[in-house]
Order: sequence, then C-alpha cells, then structure tokens
Amino acid sequence: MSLSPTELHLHCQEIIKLSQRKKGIIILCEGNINEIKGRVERYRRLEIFPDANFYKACIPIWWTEKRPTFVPCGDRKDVIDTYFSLVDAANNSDIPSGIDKNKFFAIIDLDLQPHAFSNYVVTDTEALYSLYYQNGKFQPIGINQHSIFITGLIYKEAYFLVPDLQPLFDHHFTVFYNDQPLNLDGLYQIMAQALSDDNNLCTHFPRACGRLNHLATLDFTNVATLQESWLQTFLSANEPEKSQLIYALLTIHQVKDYWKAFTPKDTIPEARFKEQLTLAIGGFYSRQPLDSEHHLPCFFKTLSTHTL
Amino acid sequence: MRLVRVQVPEFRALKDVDITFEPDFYPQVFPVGSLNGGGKSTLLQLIFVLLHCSAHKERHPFVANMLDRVTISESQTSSILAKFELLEGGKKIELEFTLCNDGYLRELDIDPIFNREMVSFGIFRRQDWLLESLEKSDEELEEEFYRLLSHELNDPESKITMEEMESDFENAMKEREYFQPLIKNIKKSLIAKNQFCITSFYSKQELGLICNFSGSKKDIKEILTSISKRIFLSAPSTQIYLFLSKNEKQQLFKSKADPKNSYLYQYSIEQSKNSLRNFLTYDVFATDTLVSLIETARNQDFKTLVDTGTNGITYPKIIEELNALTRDKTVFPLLDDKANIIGVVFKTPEGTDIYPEDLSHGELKRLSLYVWLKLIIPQDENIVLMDEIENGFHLDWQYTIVRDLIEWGKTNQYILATHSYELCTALTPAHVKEIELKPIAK
Ligand SMILES: Nc1ncnc2c1ncn2[C@@H]1O[C@H](COP(=O)(O)OP(=O)(O)OP(=O)(O)O)[C@@H](O)[C@H]1O
Ligand SMILES: [Mg+2]
Repeated sequence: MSLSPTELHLHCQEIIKLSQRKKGIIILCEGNINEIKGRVERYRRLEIFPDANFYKACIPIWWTEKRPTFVPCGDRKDVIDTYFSLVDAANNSDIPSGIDKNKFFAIIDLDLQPHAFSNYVVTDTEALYSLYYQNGKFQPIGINQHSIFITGLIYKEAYFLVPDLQPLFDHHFTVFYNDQPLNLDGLYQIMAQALSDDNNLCTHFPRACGRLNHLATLDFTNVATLQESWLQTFLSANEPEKSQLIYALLTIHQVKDYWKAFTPKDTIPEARFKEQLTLAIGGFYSRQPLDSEHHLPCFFKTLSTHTL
Repeated sequence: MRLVRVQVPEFRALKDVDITFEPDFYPQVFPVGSLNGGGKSTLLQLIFVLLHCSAHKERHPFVANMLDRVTISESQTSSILAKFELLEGGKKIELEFTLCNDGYLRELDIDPIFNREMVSFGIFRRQDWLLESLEKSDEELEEEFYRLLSHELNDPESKITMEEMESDFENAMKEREYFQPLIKNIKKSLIAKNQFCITSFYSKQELGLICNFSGSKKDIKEILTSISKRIFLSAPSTQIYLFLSKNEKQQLFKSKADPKNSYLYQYSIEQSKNSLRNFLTYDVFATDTLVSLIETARNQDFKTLVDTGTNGITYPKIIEELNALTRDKTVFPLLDDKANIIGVVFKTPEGTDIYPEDLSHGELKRLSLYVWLKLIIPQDENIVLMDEIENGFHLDWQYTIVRDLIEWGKTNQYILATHSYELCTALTPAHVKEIELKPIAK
C-alpha cells in the first residue's frame, strides 16, 4: 500500500515543519507513518515499536550534537517518493521558505526487487547498491551527490542477525530458535539449506549473483549449486572468509522469517521481547568505534561529515 | 529490589492508579506520563515516603506531612492508601499500606478488661516516651529520670521545679502501667493479622498507618528497613515537596520580594536531606566526591606504575568520561603547590576556566546525576524515582539520558516522571506508563 498524492503531500508538509524545528538532518526511512511529534501517552499507545526508533538507537554515541532525526514514510517506494517530493518542494517554492533540501536524506532496504529512479544520479536501487558497497564493504562516497542511502544487506532485519551479535543473544537476552538457544553459526547453515526454496531468490537469481561475484568459491550456475557451494565452503572456511560468506547470505536471502522465529526464554510476550531486542541491537551498533566496518556505523560516519 | 506494581485507589490527584513495571523488561527504565496535574510527582513522592520512611522513626514526621488532610469517611474504619508488589532476589514481597481510624482498633480482638474508649491511635502518639518505655524496665526509667532531674536542677535557666517534675514522672509511670498492656495487646492482635502499625498522626481525626505484609517469612521491620535502603528520589529543588510541613511548603508561595522566603524553602529541603538519606535535588553537585574520584584514579595509576613500570589508564578514562558530560568543556583537577587535588575546573574551547557553579543548568544536572548514580549511591538493585528528568535538557540529551542512566547505574530500576516524547522514543511503547486524569467531581 503506497501513499496517495494527498497523503504524500500532507506527510511532506509535516516533515518540512519538523525540519524547520530540528537542528540536525532528517533521514527518511521505511516504517509505519505515525505521529512525528506527540505526547508521552501517544507513544505509549503505538501498537508496534517504530522502525525509525531502531535507526535512532543506532546513532553512534559519539554523535552528541545535532543528532539526525528519522522519519518513517511507509514502504520503500513511499520513502523514495517522499524524498523527491521534498526536493521538489524545496526547488519550487518561490518564497525563500526556509526549506533546505540539503537537510533531507533517505535510507531504504536493498531487497531483490529493484526500484527504478526516474531522475536521480543512478538508474535504480541495484546501481545505488554497487555505488555504496564493494565486495560487501561500505564505500564512503561523496554524500553531496547521493542523499539516498541503501542497506548493504537485503533488509534492515538482516542487521539483526550478524555474527557479532552472538554475545548479546547469549547474555542479555536469552534468545531461542526452534526451542534451542540460538546459535548463529548453526542458523546460517539452516538458512543456506533453504536457499533453493527461496522463491524471491529464484526469480531474481542473476541479480543476486551480481552482488556476490567477488566470492570466487561460490558456484553461480543455479540456486542449487550456489547452495551446495556455499555449504561446502562454509564448513572449511577460515575466519575472514566465513564472515564474507555469512554477509553474502544476508545480502540475498529472505531473512525476515528467521528473525520472526526468534523466541524468548522467559514469560515475556514475544512481541515485547522482539522490540526490546531490536532496541538492544541498536545499542550495539551505536557503541561501535569510529573505524568499525559494520555498515550502519559507516553510514553514520559518512553522514556526520555533512555540514548544514 | 524491583518495584513491580503500585496501586493507589485514591490519594490527592490520584484515582484508581494501577501501574505494572515488568521485571523482565529490558532496559529497566520506565517513563510515566500524564497531563499537568495528573499526579506524577504526587505518586513518586508517595512511593518514596512510604518505602523510605516507614522503617525509621525519625522519618515518620515526613509520612504525617505527606498524609496531611487525608480522611476516612464516617462509615468506614479503614481505607487502602497504597499497595506495592516488590521483588527482592527473585522473591515477591507484597505490602499494603492502610489508613485506619480508632474504630479499626476497637474491632480488633482486644482484652475486654480495657475500656474501649481508651483504645485509640492517640495513645501511640501520646508520648514517644510511652512507646519507647515499653521496652524498658521500671528501674531503667527511674534511673533515666534522676539523671534528667539532676541535669535540670543544675540548669539556672530551668523553670520547672523539682516537685513538678516528680509529679509528672509519677503520672507518666501510672499512665504507662495502664497503657503498657493495652499497647502490647493491640500490637499482638495486629501481628496476628500480619499487620504492623507504622505510625499514627492527627488529621482531623486520630489516624494510624498500618502495613499489611505477605510473601516473606522475614520480620516486617527487617523487610521495610532493607527496602528503605534501596529506594531513591531525585527531583528539582523548586518542586513542591508534599512531605515537608505545611509551614515549610507555604514558604514557596510567599512573596519573592523577600529573599528570605525562597531561602527558607531551600533550607527546609536541605534539612530534610539529613534524615531522608536517599533524596537528591538536581542542583546539588558534590565537588568533594568528584575530587576524591579523581584522586583515587590518580593513586591507582601511580600504584600500577610502581607495580608494573607502566602508567595506569584509570585517570585518563575518568577524565574522558567527565569530559563527555558537558557540551564542549574539558575537566581539569585544581592542584595546590603540593599537587593535592583541591577542586575541579572546566576549560572552555577558548581556554577560559569555568567553575562548577558556572555550568549551564543542563550540564550541572547531568554532572550531578552522574556523581550521584555512579559514585554516591551503592551499585546495587536500587529503585530510582526521578521527577521532571528532562527539564533543562535539549532534545538530544532528552533522548540520550536514558542510555546515560543505564550506563551510570547499570543495576538500577528507573521510574521517570516525564513530559518528553523524545525520551520515550529511546524505549519501547510498552515501557511507557500513564496516569489517567482523575474525573472531575460534579
Ligand atoms: N487533596 C487533594 N485532592 C485532590 N487533588 C489534589 C489535592 N491536592 C492537590 N491536588 C491536585 O493534584 C495535582 C498536583 O499533582 P502533581 O503535582 O503530582 O501533578 P504532576 O503530574 O506532577 O504535574 P506536572 O506535570 O505539572 O508536574 C494538582 O492538580 C492539584 O490540584
Ligand atoms: Mg510534577
């Protein structure tokens, strides 16, 4: 469900007002549109933990002044539409309205389905991905030309499953998967074994391969050979190679179902548990050092060099 | 210690309050919201006063002040003031604070030899001496009396005669003779019902505050004492503190033209802190504590140097942490000519020296909270109640204060009265609690 033109217009008006109130940059992201500002009681009544708050929790702790504001805009298409409407509004307003288009950024999920841009420096999301990531690593490219960021993993949720989170799942939260304490290494193998059943991946297979061609050990003949070669290599891989394989998997495979299957050990309701875990994962990214290679801290580091 | 649930049927602005702070939530930080006048401050102060003061006799006047003007309707003998569910080391403790009038005592199973009219909370209050004396023998009391007597006789200012003192003492002893068994009898019948009389006071009628307890085999006094150590309150110094006396509270509203008035209110707050050990106002900044922190770090590093030949890293770490508390200033210890640390000074980026008293309202508050949570209160499972936490903080700090609190006192549970949406977004919607407005009486 995408925003209607009227909804989009109203939403942009809200964001413009917000941008005039806030000092820092505004980053549009995916997620249910809820109130941007409000009262404590309104926040309490939100049914679900807003996606924007995950990103907000990831803002590095060293970013102490003019921290960015995340605004949820709906699905990926809505985020892109909102971004371009805001830029249009800034370009077309005749009065010096104080709409500063340099304040607006967006972050979207990579997905396997591409989204074509009609009037942007790159043609589609896949091209945007290639620009920001090389061999799975974030490239700090000039943000003055590129205000739309894209995740380096298939969805935001893939960042909930990276290997470095294992200690968090062991200690702070006892996470269960299939009634067993979660073991990420084991989970990656379960994921790999499910590759040939991933319809989305089968449909967009050539595109997925395009993202992974830096990995010489994988066999891209078809999904089955990819699955087989991934499992083979993974079992004998050394550390850096192993991590590359894991990230490769998280770049192409439908990850949301695994995240959904995580369960708490305690009596706490599952939905509550998930949102608290999301918040703690955000905290993990916020505490990464400046030279971290995790995509999200890199994204913030690049953003922080942007001066308004 | 964790506060798991608080219920207040009716107290001042509060009506049918029932809030649960889930002990399995992470983090243990719970914002509490309401409109202005919804009763957030009232609730935090009520929780604090009941849990911090009940076990300690010298704090009972604060309870009486807090309950000033409460009444029990004619037709009733008791009404529930507040119920608490707490967790201590995984064990549940349930406390129920009930207000009772004399009718309640008269319904107890009390020996009929006592005149019913005499059964009253008034006798608990009649004289502190009377209650204390229950624990002592006649001989001990007589000895005490003669000590006092000789003291009075030696005092040239004393107006009381020896005869008057002797007859007072005799009356008191007679009263004691009568009341001693009665009070014992009352206490016994209360204990039989798992009840304990905290204190009694006069508020239009003789009233008593009784605590019902269950869930623990321990002695009620022991439970209340251990809770009192674990409960903390911090709030702005300009707040109305319901636990101060009526006179003290009124100082806040007297003409500001006379500086004495606002000074008197601040003085009352400071006085109250002498017995309310776990109470902090945000404007207090303990330079001494900071100095001793820096000193300890320096000494520790020196010891590392002596032991291992390499410099320790405690001091630079502490300084880095302190630097992060202010916006752009760096902290330096002030040294005398023998390199003793005598204070701290903050340097601005331009190199100007700033003293703690020159910091901004928000910076001072952060610093004061840091010192309090990290250095003064024991790192334990405390329940920390904080009122108007966001005041003086800009939006970024309203958000990051949640992380700071967890960082500074990892094992604490925080209950934050707040109006800040920004603060709440650092937590999940389920963390946020609300006090509904009391319906307006027709
Ligand atoms: N005896 C009483 N009975 C009923 N209501 C009372 C009584 N005494 C005071 N109040 C009301 O209690 C309210 C004060 O509550 P409190 O200060 O706890 O609110 P608050 O939620 O902290 O508000 P704020 O957000 O403004 O700090 C006032 O509206 C006051 O009129
Ligand atoms: Mg208040």
